[in-house]
Amino acid sequence: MDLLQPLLGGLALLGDPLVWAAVMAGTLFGVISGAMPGMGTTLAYGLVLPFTFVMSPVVGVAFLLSISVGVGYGNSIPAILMGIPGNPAAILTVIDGHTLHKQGDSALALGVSFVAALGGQFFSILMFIMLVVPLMSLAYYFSFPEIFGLYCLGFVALISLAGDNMVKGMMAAALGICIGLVGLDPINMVTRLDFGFREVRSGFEEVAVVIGLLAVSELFRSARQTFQWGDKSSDPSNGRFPPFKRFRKAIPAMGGGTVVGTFVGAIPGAGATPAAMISYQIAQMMSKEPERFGKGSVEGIGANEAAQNASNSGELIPTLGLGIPVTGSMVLLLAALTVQGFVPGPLMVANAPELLYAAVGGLLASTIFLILLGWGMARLMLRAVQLNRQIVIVLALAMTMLGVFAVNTRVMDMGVALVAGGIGYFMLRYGYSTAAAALGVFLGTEFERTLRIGLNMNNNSFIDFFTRPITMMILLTAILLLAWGAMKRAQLRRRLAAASVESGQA
Amino acid sequence: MDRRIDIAVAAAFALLGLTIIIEATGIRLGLVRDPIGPRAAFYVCGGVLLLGGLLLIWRRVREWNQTTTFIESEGVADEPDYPASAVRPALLVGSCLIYTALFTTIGYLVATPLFIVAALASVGERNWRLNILIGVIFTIATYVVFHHALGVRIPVGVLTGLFRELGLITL
Repeated sequence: MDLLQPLLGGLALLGDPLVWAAVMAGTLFGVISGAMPGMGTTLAYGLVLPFTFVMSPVVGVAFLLSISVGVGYGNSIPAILMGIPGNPAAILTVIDGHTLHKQGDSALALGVSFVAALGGQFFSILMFIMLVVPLMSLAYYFSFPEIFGLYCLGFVALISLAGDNMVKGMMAAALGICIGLVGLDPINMVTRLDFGFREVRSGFEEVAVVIGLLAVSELFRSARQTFQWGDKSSDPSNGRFPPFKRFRKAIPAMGGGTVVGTFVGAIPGAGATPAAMISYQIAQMMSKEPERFGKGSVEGIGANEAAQNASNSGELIPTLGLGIPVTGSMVLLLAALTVQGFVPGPLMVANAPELLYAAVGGLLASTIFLILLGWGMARLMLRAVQLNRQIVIVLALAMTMLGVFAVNTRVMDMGVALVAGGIGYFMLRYGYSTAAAALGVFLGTEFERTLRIGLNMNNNSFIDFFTRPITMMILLTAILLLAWGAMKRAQLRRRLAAASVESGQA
Repeated sequence: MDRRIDIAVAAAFALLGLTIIIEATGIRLGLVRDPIGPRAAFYVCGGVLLLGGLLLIWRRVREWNQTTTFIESEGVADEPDYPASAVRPALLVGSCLIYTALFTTIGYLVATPLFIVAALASVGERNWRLNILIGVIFTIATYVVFHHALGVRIPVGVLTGLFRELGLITL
């Protein structure tokens, strides 16, 4: 596949009115979800997943990705005008954007955020194509041992980089794999760990467990507190779009944010928040006015808004290129494709390139839609923040339950999602990565199957299996990543211990 | 976070790991033999849960005298400045379980408004009239979308006979 093909395929999809209808609905929903604190991309995906089952895979992928773009843009408006971050990644937008708003320069803050978010999104699509196509061509060299190595790398990266406690990350992944393995053995077809229940002899419905772990758990956690998001009012119409010369100096920061966002977004477990943080720090180091950062810097807003949106494209690189979802929302994206009959793995997009075109088309269409209408959406987003938080939580929960039921029209799946949500609640509260567990549920069966079939193909020899050059290289990378993560945590613990000793002496 | 609950969660995971290992010993080996076999993955994952849980408990107990009951959160912390309560999510889970149990028996159209009113009450929304209105509108809207637009067969329970007579459902 050449580099132009995905772009041309994506552009060709823009002629389909169904794609446009799905993208407009998805972007609008994403913008509203992004504006509501706590309603990130993963929860938004969890809510609308059942709707994708009746869409064609192409329209479904475009629909889901347009939500990501909408969320990335939507969280900036309440952050700037009300000082309310839609998600952790928007905290830096609050620092500089809300400061500018309080200084009476709301239009400049909103304008920079608009240009950065949509510019970052657009250019990151091109970077995504340039990175995913070579990655896909590697897929033809991958057999079972190499795919097993990739799964190991995905798990290790998620465990090493997500959460504060690596042991808890490993336990979360192990729990997820165990849940994923319940059911038929891939070699002998004997039932495993069904505890005598006939209903789970062929395993749990993966979508129900994953939605439970990622979405229901977050809704249960949100119910711990009762408060309203929007207890402040603000007028979004106090300015016109700022002239180019006012935000020209933020353009390099936006460029840097786009590059960093795409690469950091591709790292398992990273996502938009670290992408925004790193871009912000780099922009501050490179800036001629570093002292302005935190006090209303347009470069700061530009860097982190561009990085947040660019990470949407970055997340897709390993998800579509290798079949390894790197965030909770990407697990749900692949879950939606699994329901449609696709098998996640390095060959998924190589065999069905229309999924890649759909990703490019969806990201492009939602970016165009926001370029045309995004500026006028500020008022709508402020209304979203004024909604009653408790009512939103309950209705989101009711919608999720109905969505889970709709997968197979089985009440048992609702119970499974509830139990997974209850377990996920404690995992979220006590630092066990629900994303790692969801990845385990989703890839558990393939993880074991690739190992066992791979061994079978290599004369049942562990040496032959693990000494294949690409497998060995991937597994060594995984081991190094695990060691690096452990070392970093040990350093952090030592520093914290030293700090507490010093404060004790003081 | 409360270190006692942190220990309890770690203990629950360790116990689950032990249960998985014990249960895995009963898995039939089947006719096709391979070096891994159908039990190994459960032994490894169960082992990680068991040993990980014990390690976490040991770490907390070792630091017991140096820490207070509430330690720095390793998970998602609550919003500062707002009181948090575990009772609300517990009531919400209870409402969800009852809703799931009644979903087929009394049907979506009756169970859902009741669930929404109960769930809203459990998270502190006591405007009953508004809660009932929200429950009814949400139920009808989602039923129309899922049943008629998406073709999902949603059970109507006690209303099955009436719906058949009205020709709204065919089975």
